[in-house]
Amino acid sequence: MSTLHIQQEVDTYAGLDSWMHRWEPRLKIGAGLVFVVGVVLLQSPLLAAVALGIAVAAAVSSRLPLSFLITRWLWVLPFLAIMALSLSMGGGLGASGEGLTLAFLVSMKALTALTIMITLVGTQPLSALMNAFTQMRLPHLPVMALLLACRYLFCFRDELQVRQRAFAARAFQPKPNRRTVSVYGETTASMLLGALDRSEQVHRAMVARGFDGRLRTSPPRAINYTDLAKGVFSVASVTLLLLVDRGFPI
Amino acid sequence: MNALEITDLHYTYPDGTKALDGVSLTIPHYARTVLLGANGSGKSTLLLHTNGLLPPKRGRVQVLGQEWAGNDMRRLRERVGMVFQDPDDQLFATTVADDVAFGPRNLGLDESTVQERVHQALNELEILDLAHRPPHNLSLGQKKRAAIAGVLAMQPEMLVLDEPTASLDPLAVRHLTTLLHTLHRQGRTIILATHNVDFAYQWADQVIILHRGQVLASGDITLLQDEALLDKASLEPPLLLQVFRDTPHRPRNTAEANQIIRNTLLS
Repeated sequence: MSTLHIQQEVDTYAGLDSWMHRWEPRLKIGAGLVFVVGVVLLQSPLLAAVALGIAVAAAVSSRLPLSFLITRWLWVLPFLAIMALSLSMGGGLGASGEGLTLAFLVSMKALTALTIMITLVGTQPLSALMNAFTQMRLPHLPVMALLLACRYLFCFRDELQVRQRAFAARAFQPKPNRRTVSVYGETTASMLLGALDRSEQVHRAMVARGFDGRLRTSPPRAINYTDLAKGVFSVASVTLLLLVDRGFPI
Repeated sequence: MNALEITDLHYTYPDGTKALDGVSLTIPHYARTVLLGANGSGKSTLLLHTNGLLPPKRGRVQVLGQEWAGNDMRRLRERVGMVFQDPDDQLFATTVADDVAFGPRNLGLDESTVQERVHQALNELEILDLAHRPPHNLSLGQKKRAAIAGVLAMQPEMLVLDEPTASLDPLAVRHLTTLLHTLHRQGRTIILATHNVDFAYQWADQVIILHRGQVLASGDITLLQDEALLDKASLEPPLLLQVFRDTPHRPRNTAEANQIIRNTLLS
């Protein structure tokens, strides 16, 4: 997959217009994280499933296609399946329905968290997300690392693709043998060394434009009442789920 | 006062590679200077000294009339813009506009001025339509333009470019040449490093030939007629001079060459 395709995939739905797209990014991220933490604290599988329903509804009402969600779920489903199998076969709990229930609970929570994250990332351009992280006064170092990773991961992947073509051009066929492992090992090592050199150049280029270790972004847009209302609704919904979960009479 | 004065500059990389070995040179204000040399001749290392990115190990570097150090570096980087060889090293932000705004924001300008400068730089480079595109979504020529815009937005009085024609197709080189002429007419001193002798011949006022970290020769473009000198520097004479080698003519560009050929045929 080329760099262009990856970037198109990341920002494919960022230009749409929906309540989620119009939500101020800092509040959206904050509310999303609170929702995820609340869901993690749930103990009832049924309520965890309800939370997943809410997350999916939020994603779909943001005009993100269901197929966009499901294809991303496919990345974690194998891990969840292994976990479910392990728990149902015993997993310290005995081969009982209890293990399966726990597996279901964990799966619901994982899918809810993933859906929320996909919705957060998918409903705004990557640049807006990075700006929001900076404006939320997160430590500069991890934000810079994330920003550069987003940018150079694409370059790294392109380079990997070029090397794979170069291997193919010289009739190299990967096989489950020591030579293949050795070739891939050397390639990875040389790419990492190349990345190290590039990081030095990138840093120089940044310093040449006055970078002093602090990332400066455009000022954030003002938070309005609609943004706040969306935040309150999101936090209230997960609070309600937690209250029901803990047996409070509603 | 010269734009750049370097005296007996030495630089050795931590792995022991001696990149500069006693370089001394002078570049006047408003000059169009080309540092010519084969790969490994020390051009890039020399350029890194002009922006304070490498401190001299030995020797003296005076940029715009003074030696720079410590807290003055930000001011130096505002006045001397550096465009790197590989635009992927320079374009790190998620959109072109954000990347172009990076320098002005580092200068502490207010947001309206930043946006004004971004618009002006993108407009000057004729890439306003790319403002919201991710940099890695661009062609190499567009990336080079975006990288130059990122530096121009800081409004430097001296522009330093490392191998600006590398990997560009002929049309992109032509656009770049026009752009460099425009930037020079605006009053900027421009220094560029290249091994593209044809480009140097058509564009430069002053040529400095580097070889193994030393200045082999310095002067105007007539230096490029000295085949023995170019051979010593592992360079080839410009194609136009090779074609007209046995004639009294020395056309500077293809238009002049066409005119000479037409006149010769007509007479």
